[in-house]
Amino acid sequence: MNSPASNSNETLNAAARSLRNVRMMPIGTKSQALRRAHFWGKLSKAVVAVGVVLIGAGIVGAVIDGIGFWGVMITGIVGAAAAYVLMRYPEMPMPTTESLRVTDLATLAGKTEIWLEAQRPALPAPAVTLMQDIGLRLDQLAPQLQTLDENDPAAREVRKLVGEHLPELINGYKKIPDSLKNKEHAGKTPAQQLVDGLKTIDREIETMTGQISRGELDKLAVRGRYLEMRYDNADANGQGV
Amino acid sequence: MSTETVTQTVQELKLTPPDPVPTVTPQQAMGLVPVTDEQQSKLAQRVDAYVADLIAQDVNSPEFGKRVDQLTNMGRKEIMEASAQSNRFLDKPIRRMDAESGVGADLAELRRVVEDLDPSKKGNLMTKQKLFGIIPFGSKLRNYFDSYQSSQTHISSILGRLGNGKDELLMDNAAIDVERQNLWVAMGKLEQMIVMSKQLDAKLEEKSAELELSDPAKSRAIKESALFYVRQRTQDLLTQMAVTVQGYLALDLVKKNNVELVKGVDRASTTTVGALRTAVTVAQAMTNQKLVLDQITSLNTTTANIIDSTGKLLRDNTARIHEQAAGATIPLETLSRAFQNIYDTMDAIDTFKLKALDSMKQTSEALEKEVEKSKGYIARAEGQAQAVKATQDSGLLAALEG
Repeated sequence: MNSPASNSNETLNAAARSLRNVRMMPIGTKSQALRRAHFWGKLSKAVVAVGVVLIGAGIVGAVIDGIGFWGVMITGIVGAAAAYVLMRYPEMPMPTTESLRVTDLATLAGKTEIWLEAQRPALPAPAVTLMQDIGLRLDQLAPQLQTLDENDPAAREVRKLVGEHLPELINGYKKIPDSLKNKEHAGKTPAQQLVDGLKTIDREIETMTGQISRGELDKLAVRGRYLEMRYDNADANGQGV
Repeated sequence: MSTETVTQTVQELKLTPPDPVPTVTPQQAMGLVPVTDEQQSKLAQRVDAYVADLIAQDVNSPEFGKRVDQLTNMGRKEIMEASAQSNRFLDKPIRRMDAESGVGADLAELRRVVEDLDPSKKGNLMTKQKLFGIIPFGSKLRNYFDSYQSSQTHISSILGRLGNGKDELLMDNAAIDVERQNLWVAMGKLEQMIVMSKQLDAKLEEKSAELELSDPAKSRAIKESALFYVRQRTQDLLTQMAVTVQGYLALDLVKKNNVELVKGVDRASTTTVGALRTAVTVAQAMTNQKLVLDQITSLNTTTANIIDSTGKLLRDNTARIHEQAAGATIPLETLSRAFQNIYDTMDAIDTFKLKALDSMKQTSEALEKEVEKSKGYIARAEGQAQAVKATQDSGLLAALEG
């Protein structure tokens, strides 16, 4: 019979495992979508390569009247090698602080999510949970960014917040030596500063999502009001006879 | 029976240009938007909590400074929001009214086409046309009515464009309604911030007087920093409120102008179609010529709404015109009158436009001046905001919710 005490190691391991799982889970659907798109791109390339190898073998076989046992073996090996190489490379390009700054708006949210996911191991636990929230917010923001004009003031704001302030906050934290991360400085520990900063960013992304969609809300309201004025003559707007 | 009865039913068109919006002073600006008692007491609670918190801090500690920084940031969001909206009037162009494009251009074009058809500009239509002045050759009157057929396509396309222009004006007005609604909300928030800053002012003054003897250093700090910033902020909020109110009123001016212009466009279309239909009747009566103005008739059905009154008027008149046909020139006079109606409408629109443009100009100049003034403190507020970015959140005086 195992005593609960002897289970503790296992329990700890399980906890560590599930914590790792949580950490490794994507924080938003946009990063997943980007990864999936990359995977399918590679897969289709690999399929085409294998197809080319097979057709090539067929043509060679037709010309020299059968490629024989070694021919089949070589075809198989070449096909497998091509598939392996193409599935392995090119690796998903990892966004960096610099690339986030210049990335186009449409993929900004997804790339930021990927970048954030890569940063998780270096961050304290509360920040990791916050990251999950930010991922959610970025998911909500992403559809709005698709149609936003690059020169819109809102676009610049989003770029600043998501593409600059957020990476800089996290990089700033990472630069601090581990031993000082929990020592108080300027009223707060660096970990606390990081969490507070992330909270502000989280809230600000939400506000921005609201602001960007306000234009759309207004447009809809205007259209409704116009229909009222145009077709319901209830309103005395120089309308109706 | 005189011809007067035929046209008198068309009332004179009166288009009144709204007066320019006066400059709203900050003193007038307060209290325009009501703040409910419930909101007042909520704000009072926040003010009490803030003041108590401020007093509890050591005067020289950074914590005290942080609390004071909150004051410099008070209402920043509200001001930014209101300022982004209150100059909307300035980008609302007066474009619909200028002569080069839109409704103005279409009206001018309509006038040209209509003038070409005006019977009173054709000399005596009753004389027989003679080749080389001797040989009788067709009828002038007949030729005259034929000219209607050739210009009907043109007229109906102009009327169609006028209809579109009218729709655009209505769309503008719908947008103005929504913008005014947003401005009203922004003004409500500003008003709350003003109420709050006034309460803060009173409360801080009271506290600093209380502390005068027991803790003179703190009393002075409150007076010199906190109270100073609160008063500065109150002034900023009031100035922004004034600009916003002015923008709100200016938008209403644009709306009223548009409503008048829609009336004018409607009337111009109605009188034009009316004249054309009179021509159909007169042609029938005088020359027994069947004038087919298909395009205008089809226009009739699409804009049934506008044309209805004219249609009714004309149905009544048709019988009379036929009666008068024997009297030769009277139907032509009726037609001339119908044309006169179009001119009257267009003249009314022109006079209206002149006055309205003037009102608009005055209004936008006044507003531009005020907006310019308000830009100064918005810039200052931004500078402070950046300096104390960290303290702006989570503060008791942070932006109002919702």
